[in-house]
Amino acid sequence: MTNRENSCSTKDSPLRKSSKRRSSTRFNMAWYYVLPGLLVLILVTLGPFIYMISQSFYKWGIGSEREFTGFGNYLAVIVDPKFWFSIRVSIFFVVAGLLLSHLFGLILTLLLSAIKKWRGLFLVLFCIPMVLPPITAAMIWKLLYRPNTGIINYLLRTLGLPGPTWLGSYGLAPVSLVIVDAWQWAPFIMLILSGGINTITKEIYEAAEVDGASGWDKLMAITFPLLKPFFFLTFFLRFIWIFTTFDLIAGLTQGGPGNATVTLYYYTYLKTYDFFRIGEGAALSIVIFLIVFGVSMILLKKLVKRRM
Amino acid sequence: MKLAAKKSIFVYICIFILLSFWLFPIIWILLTSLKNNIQALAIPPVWIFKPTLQNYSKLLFDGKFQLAILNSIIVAGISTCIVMLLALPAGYALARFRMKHKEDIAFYVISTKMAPPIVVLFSFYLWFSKIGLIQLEFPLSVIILHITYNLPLSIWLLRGFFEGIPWESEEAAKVDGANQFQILRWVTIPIAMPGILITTTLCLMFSWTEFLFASTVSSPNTMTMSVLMFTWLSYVQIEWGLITAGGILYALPILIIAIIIRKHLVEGMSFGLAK
Repeated sequence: MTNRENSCSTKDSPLRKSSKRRSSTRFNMAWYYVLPGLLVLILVTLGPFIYMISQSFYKWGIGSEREFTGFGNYLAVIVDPKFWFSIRVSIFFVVAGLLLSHLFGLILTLLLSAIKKWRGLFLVLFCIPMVLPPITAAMIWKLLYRPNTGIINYLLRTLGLPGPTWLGSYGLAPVSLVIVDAWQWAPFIMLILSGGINTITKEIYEAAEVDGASGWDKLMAITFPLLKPFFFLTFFLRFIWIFTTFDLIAGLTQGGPGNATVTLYYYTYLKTYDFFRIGEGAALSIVIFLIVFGVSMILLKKLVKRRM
Repeated sequence: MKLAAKKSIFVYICIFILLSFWLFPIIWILLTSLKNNIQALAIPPVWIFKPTLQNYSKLLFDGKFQLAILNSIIVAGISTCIVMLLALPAGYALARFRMKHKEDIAFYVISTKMAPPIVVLFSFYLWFSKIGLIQLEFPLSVIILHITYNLPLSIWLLRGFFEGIPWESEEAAKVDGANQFQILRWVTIPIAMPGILITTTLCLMFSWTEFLFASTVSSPNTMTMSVLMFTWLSYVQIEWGLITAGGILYALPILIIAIIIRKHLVEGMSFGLAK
């Protein structure tokens, strides 16, 4: 650390200071400011992470001695059919969740961009589900989804339709979760895309109208291409969020019925805290970390660049 | 012109239909929380009834609920204080001072947000159980994990806010003979106050709603509101009137905060990355 401090020059002349906005006379001071936060951060992130990596190389469960197995846990994970099943569930979740939340997010954005009056009010109202604590969102939908006494099935029955067991049937439970996810997060997509649509000037549309473009043409040729960077942001953020969904599954189905809603993320949790297969749980965590880290890196490079 | 008017009426109708779908679930739990237990489960559903506040009054005198709310307040309050104490100087220095590896540090800070919480959770769980932190009467274990949860984001956001402050005002104060402390106290912090308040509220909000960490390292004595909510949900016989009232009381502070800081919500949430 001392090397780094010394390597910063210590005194600037006032003239140079005014020419460079982000300079200061006390460079050594900077480390006193940064270090407490940085050290705590390293302690609470890098420490546990490295310990987790090390544990993924040990065979370890309740009542058994801890022994070194090398890549044994990773091997056990790869040959575990439940692991592959949870990946399948995760893929369904991510694909269906991305599609549904983007579909509604886009519809909301386009509708709201077409109006002027009360636009701000509508934006706020639509965003209420987004800021609810996830466990409260789970509670709300558990109430609505009740098979016999739930309001959704009651309304379906009055329309003469059969009321399914939303959370209790194997095929439907994942879909029910995706619906809740879209309800909560389509407004987030709407917020970001609305910000994007505001950057498109009226003149571009007017020029297209002069050329005889229809509403659909304008959407395809102007709106979507110009929204591309915003789609990039929502797409990757939502990918990570859906992939690491925990609260919703815990609150609504706890992975059931059977394994229908056990995603990779939830499976890792179960493995560690319910089955106490700690080594394998650690190995699964590392797999999740690599997936999320890879995606985040792409996203973060873009995000950081835009901010600077 | 007529066509345009017709079109805009059509758009408003579409918005109203969607909005009613979006808000119906929330209105429904609001209604349920005002019903008595028989009405809450009635089929066909009761639409017109004499609203009662008995669920709320029962809840407010419920020891478990009081304890969970108190724990949530303690956890959110203390963890946010510590986070801000650590993040303020770090964010300030990363914005202001010229130092080696500044960009690397900033990138490291935000990249720690990329690790999904589950990756660090077990280590904490093990260490905390070994030293008996989880069994404590005081939610210290949850506080520590919420510091982990909020610190990187706070440093990152504060740095952004400090970068937006005109450097000249600090220079002017220095010319007038103010020392470093006086400059911070009377110039920098007042100007940065909106950013500081926004970061603080985001921390409070994220801590208040966090569930995975809180449920893993808490005991019945230290459970926060999100954990209590989950416990209620896992009962076979759910008392819907009571739990909906609890859900509303739990979500209300967040809704108010969110409306106040709505312009900055998106940025805060975007850098939340892994949930």
